[in-house]
Amino acid sequence: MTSDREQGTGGDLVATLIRTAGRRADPPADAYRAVLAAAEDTWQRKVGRRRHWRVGVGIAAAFVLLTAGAALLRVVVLPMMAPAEIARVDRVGGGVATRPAGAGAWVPLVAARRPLHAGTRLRTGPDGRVDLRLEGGVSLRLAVMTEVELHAPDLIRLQRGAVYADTGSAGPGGIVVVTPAGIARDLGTQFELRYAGDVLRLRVREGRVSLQRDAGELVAAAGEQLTIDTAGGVTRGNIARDDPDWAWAETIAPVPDFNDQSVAVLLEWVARETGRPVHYADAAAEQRAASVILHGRVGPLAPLEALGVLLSTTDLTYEILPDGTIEVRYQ
Amino acid sequence: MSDVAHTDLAVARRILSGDQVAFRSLFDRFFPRLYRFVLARLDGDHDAARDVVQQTFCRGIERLDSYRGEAALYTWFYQVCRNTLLDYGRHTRRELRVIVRLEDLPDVRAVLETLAAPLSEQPETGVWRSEVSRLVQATVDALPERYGEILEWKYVDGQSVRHIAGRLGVSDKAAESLLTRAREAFREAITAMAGSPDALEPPGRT
Repeated sequence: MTSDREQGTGGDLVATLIRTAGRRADPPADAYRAVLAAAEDTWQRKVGRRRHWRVGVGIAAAFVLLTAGAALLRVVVLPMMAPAEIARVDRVGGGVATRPAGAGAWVPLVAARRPLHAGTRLRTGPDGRVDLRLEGGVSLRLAVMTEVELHAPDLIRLQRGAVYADTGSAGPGGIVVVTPAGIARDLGTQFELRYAGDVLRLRVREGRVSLQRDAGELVAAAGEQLTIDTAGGVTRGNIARDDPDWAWAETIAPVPDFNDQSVAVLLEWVARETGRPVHYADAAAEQRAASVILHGRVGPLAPLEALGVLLSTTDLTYEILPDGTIEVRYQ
Repeated sequence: MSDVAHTDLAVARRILSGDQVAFRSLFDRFFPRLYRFVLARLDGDHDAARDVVQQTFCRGIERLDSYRGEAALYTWFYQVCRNTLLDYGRHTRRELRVIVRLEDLPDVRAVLETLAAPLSEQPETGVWRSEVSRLVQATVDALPERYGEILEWKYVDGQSVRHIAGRLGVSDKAAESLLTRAREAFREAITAMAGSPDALEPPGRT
């Protein structure tokens, strides 16, 4: 027995129409994964905020009222007024384009210090690189041929290409990078995430990074490399902190203001950016590095270039030893 | 409040409390329908559709506290999706392919009138099939989720009522009843669009 017989001719037409139309098409799998990743992240944050809110109720009702008001303002009112500024362009080189939230056209990004708002997209060309300073202090660098969307100061969507994140003083949990193949969460670190041709590669230079996928969570530590292929297979490898593959991120590294800072501060920065340990030839060199104060500002140079320029104005020299160590000497 | 909305309110609360199963179930049920809804209005631009649907989910989840169960949860997300789509069209100055309220739109009615015209005045059968397919699929998507599935199982996949009953874990009689209700819902929806389902009869059948 079927309903067709009960419905008569009109029922046959219903069947004909649905049969003619065929099965509704499923959305592309990559769109499913990308939207799910973003939705899940929003959901987890939402749930997290609600849990914190409930704990607050037990502690002090008045405080919770203020917190809830602030959350309401942040979540509902402010987004309706204007998109929040979540990053600033720190350094830009080569062809880089940006598309603000809701805008239809890409426009060239030529100036640093420019504010970027939630929903903004950035795209680098074959020679383009850019460093962003996210609210909260994370340095996010885009390699060539990369496209990202900025959702929040700690939430980025990587659509293709590679990003390098240095959470620095932002501390663990400074950034989450969402890709269709997985979500990377820093646990206090410097790392590179590359997504190309449906293959995801995570390289950790310092600290640890959690990578969440449909198949579960993976954690990579400093010096480790994870590659997730199109079939979901995981390959683990190693990468040294001073491997030449990190060089692209160094070329676009944010250069701090060293004016009135000691040489020791400069050396600390160079060590972090290049992954090379600093060794003082003797105690005198170490004392000298701590006492010599730099004056003036260095331009947008790579770390080792900046070190060469600035040390040339002092009585300190350096040499890169065969094992990659930067040895500092007092003449 | 209807039973559906009452159930959906419980689902929303489970999601807000951190229930992973409830969240994933909602996503898997709503994503394909919202995606197709948006894609049809963006002339098949998958990148744009993905962005709009993603923003829909993010907005919807952020505001889920405000869902009070006045309507089904899908209807609520659908409204969020429509607003997101309109915002997108406004910001990008993009002309959206609006087929939201088919019965209210003169251009769509014109399409349907064309479809109902005698064979000699018909556009090519391929065009007919494409347009009708789009309208019928949009109608099926607008039905309660289970109805759409049952209609496809029955008429596209050719499954028997007994087999459908097995898939749903209900009796044959209950499946039969669901199928009848699904057909009636489809008939009502398509009638609202076309005036009569006969208007969508294939060329050459009259």
